[in-house]
Amino acid sequence: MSAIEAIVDEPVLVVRWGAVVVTAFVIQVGIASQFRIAEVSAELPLLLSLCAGLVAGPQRGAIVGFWSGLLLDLMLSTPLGLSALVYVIVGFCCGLAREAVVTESRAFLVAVATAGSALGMLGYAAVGELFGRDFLREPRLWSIVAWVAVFNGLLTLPLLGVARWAETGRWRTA
Amino acid sequence: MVLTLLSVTIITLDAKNIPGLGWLHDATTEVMGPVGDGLSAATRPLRNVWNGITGYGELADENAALRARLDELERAEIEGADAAAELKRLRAELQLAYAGDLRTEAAQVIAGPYSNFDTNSTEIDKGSASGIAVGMPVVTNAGLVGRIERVTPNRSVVRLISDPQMAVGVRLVTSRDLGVGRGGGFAKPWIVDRGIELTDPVKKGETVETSGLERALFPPGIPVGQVSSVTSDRAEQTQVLKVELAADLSRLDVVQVLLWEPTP
Repeated sequence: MSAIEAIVDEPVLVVRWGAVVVTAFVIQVGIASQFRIAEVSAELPLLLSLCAGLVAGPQRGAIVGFWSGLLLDLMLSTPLGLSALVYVIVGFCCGLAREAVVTESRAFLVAVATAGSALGMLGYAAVGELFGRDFLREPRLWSIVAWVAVFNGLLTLPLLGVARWAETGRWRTA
Repeated sequence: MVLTLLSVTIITLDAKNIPGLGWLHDATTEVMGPVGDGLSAATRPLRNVWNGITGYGELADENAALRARLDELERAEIEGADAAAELKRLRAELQLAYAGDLRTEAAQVIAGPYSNFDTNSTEIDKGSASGIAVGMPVVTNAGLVGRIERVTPNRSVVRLISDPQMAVGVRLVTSRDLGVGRGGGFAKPWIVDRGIELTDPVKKGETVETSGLERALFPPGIPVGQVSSVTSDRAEQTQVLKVELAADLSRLDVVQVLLWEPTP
């Protein structure tokens, strides 16, 4: 059964993931975006996509990435759909990475989410460049990549718990 | 694959300015505005502590600069020249010079960028209910800040002039030379890289203001900044002027929207 069929068949999944995606969006807009180091803040919707991929596989990572990115795009002046596109790819790839390695090690999950956050930011800059934005020439590019990776790495474990709850209704693995 | 294609489709539709998508943008801004304000107010004490810790070096530098400035002003006062009063008078004149008879609407900057790459826009707490419309110039007492990009009834998004994609027609106050300037992005200098020929005399410190030529995005005479350096671009046969912006875009608080719309 695909992730899309699973979500359609289980309305509870839709409600829980919907609540988590909207909450992450509200926290990003109202709180996280205002706590900055070197003018850089955490990217919770991106991290949520990564955690969805880590917890529930590539398809769920892509679905959560799409909605998280699209919601965020509605608040930004960048092209609508840009974050959605990048988060779909990042969430999907993160799920593939999780499937390729059989381990429950927390260090591994944090490492994947940290690397995924850095790659997600680079991917965002690259895709933005394709759509006419000068993000790759942004002087703070590497600072953004590094700080988002640090912020998101620190927040990975709590968000993994949230993603696990959204997927299974439990905070911890059985 | 489906979601990827859907995302690309949305980007394409957005690029074509499909009205429904604009409405979605506006509705989200309008709904999220009060929510963001509430969260922002609730977390202000925590944020102040955070900014105090993470911005300590910057605050120390600013403090040192302010102390130096204070010493300078005190010295000037001792010598009989009230530099502060003079500065105030000049600024007041400057403001009169560019605001003229234009009606203005004061607004508070309520939110900075929500994302790490979208740093060339900011949000203010007034919208179409206050007479604000897309395209209107936004200024401070010091000078040009940007222009209104999106409007909802109670909010507006301002595109800052630091955006590399916003070209501004400018005039050098002394020589009256005309050029086109643009931003370099966050924390990069604002430059005038078109229109100033190699033979045009340009001095460091010269004031740059909006030209207000026909179909210009801004009315004439709004101070943009001062020339901080001049280099020659032999290939393009122009001079490239770095301009120190008059308005401090990193510390915007209260701004004025000029109720003036560019002619289409």
